[in-house]
Amino acid sequence: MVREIYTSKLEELAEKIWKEFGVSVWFAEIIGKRWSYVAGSVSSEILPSLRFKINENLGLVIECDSEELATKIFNYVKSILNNDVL
Amino acid sequence: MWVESINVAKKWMEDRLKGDDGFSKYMDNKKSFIDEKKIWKCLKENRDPSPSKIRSIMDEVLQNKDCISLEDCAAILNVKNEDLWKEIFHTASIVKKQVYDNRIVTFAPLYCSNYCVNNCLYCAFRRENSVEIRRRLTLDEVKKEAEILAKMGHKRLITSYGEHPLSDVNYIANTLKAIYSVRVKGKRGGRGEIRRVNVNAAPMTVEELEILRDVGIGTFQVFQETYHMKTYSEVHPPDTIKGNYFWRLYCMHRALEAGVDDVGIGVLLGLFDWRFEVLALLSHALELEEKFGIGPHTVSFPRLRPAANTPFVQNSAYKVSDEDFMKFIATVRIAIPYTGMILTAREPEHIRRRVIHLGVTQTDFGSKIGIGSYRESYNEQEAEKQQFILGDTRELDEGVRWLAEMGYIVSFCTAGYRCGRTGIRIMKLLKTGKEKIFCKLNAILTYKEYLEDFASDETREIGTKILSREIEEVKKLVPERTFEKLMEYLSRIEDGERDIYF
Repeated sequence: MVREIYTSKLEELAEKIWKEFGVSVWFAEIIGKRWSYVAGSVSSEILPSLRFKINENLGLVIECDSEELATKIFNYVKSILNNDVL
Repeated sequence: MWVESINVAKKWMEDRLKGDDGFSKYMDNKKSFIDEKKIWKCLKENRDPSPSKIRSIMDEVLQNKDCISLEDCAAILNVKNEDLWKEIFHTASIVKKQVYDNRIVTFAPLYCSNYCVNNCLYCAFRRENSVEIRRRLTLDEVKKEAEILAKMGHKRLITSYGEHPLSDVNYIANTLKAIYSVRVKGKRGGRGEIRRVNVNAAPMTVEELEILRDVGIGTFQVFQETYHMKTYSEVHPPDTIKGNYFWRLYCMHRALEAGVDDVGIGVLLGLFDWRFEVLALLSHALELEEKFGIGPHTVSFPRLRPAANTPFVQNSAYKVSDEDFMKFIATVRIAIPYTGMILTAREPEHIRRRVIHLGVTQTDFGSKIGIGSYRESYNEQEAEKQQFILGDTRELDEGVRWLAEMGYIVSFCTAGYRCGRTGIRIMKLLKTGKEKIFCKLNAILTYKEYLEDFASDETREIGTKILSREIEEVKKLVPERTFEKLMEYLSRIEDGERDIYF
């Protein structure tokens, strides 16, 4: 399960994104309609968020309303996550 | 044929109780988290609490939004002074507002099957109740029922099933798929659909719960009915699956292990001492938080209601009075501040009016609980097809208007579980008071959809005023760009887009 194996790695990545971009992100396991929180930010600035599917099982939620910045972060996440995660 | 089906059900029941017991592995030193001795001790040792002690407990809850201790909860339950209870009621209403604001989520029940292998004394579905007319809806019938509910404007259902091989996990999963496939046109325009299906069913194995998780279950709801073991064994005969107290007690552990991270617990008030049940519910919440970091998504507290050919209901020695019902709700609200609290249409209008302010977060309208009743007998209750008799059968539109008249905004929000606001994230947001702002934003958006697509002229008129007030309030609570986004979303809804959320 994504939840068990990759949690700490995803936590680190969320932290790294916060430091680099100043944006909160969290990861969710996608199970049908459900996006179950796995790792990342647990607080919120009450900003709009954008959702991205990293793959069929893993989703990324970015608390930011700029599609440009969110896409940049999404691509950054994809480049960092190695094949083990993807 | 009948004898054959009884034998099939019996074999199914025996098979389910074989193998891994489903609870021992979660116990600490083979002990359950319900410690009856401790509960009674807490109630005994915290008698006659001083008003200052009670006020200090309430102050702490208002600060932290964390569960209180069993000892502090017992102290509240032991308050005798009615003026102090008024303060407790007031605090409960503030806690609710701090965590969920003034929104009330609505839903409707959808009973799919009343075949049951169990024999619970208080339930009209019990297997030996010969007057109950048995029926299981076909998937096409489930879909037709859901279409009627979607046409009313409902977005959230709770489906319910007796425990029986005819309504096993595969049938339940298929009913969820059938419901999620529904699309209807709104009365005024737009579209109707069911976006979240919660399930009230018998306890299941981890593997079965994974099947429900995969088809998009919302909350998995199982009530212990009573946490008092002796009473439990008296009302649930031992030769039934439900007679296994621990199998039921640990079903939420299995659900959380399966990745269903919204779980709903509850008690059936009227089976045993309500004060004991409050402390047991709190014990359950504390246990889930400790083991999984996630407390109960909701707590339900139905009171026993009359049911066809079910004399136990009239004879119960533990019936809960209206006054005690208020105390129960307020105490649970304070004891488990973050949890959703569900008040159902079992209760008549005048009771709902009295208690809704004490911390209720969800309620149902337009409810029918007979099997196939939405399509076939909408205007009447039929005891022989129902589990019990409802106390309030008002339509959804009337309910939305009634709540608006009391200052509440109805929320049809189903966003949380679709965007990762689950698990420890939702717990943190609830405890820090941030979730209520998401609740408010999404309540505004879904209320707007309801007014655009389904509301009567009368409801639309008062609803529009509520909406304007909510928009003004939220403007003060969120960053400017979030508010701008809200206004953009509202405009997109006016243009016909649906299901937009924060």
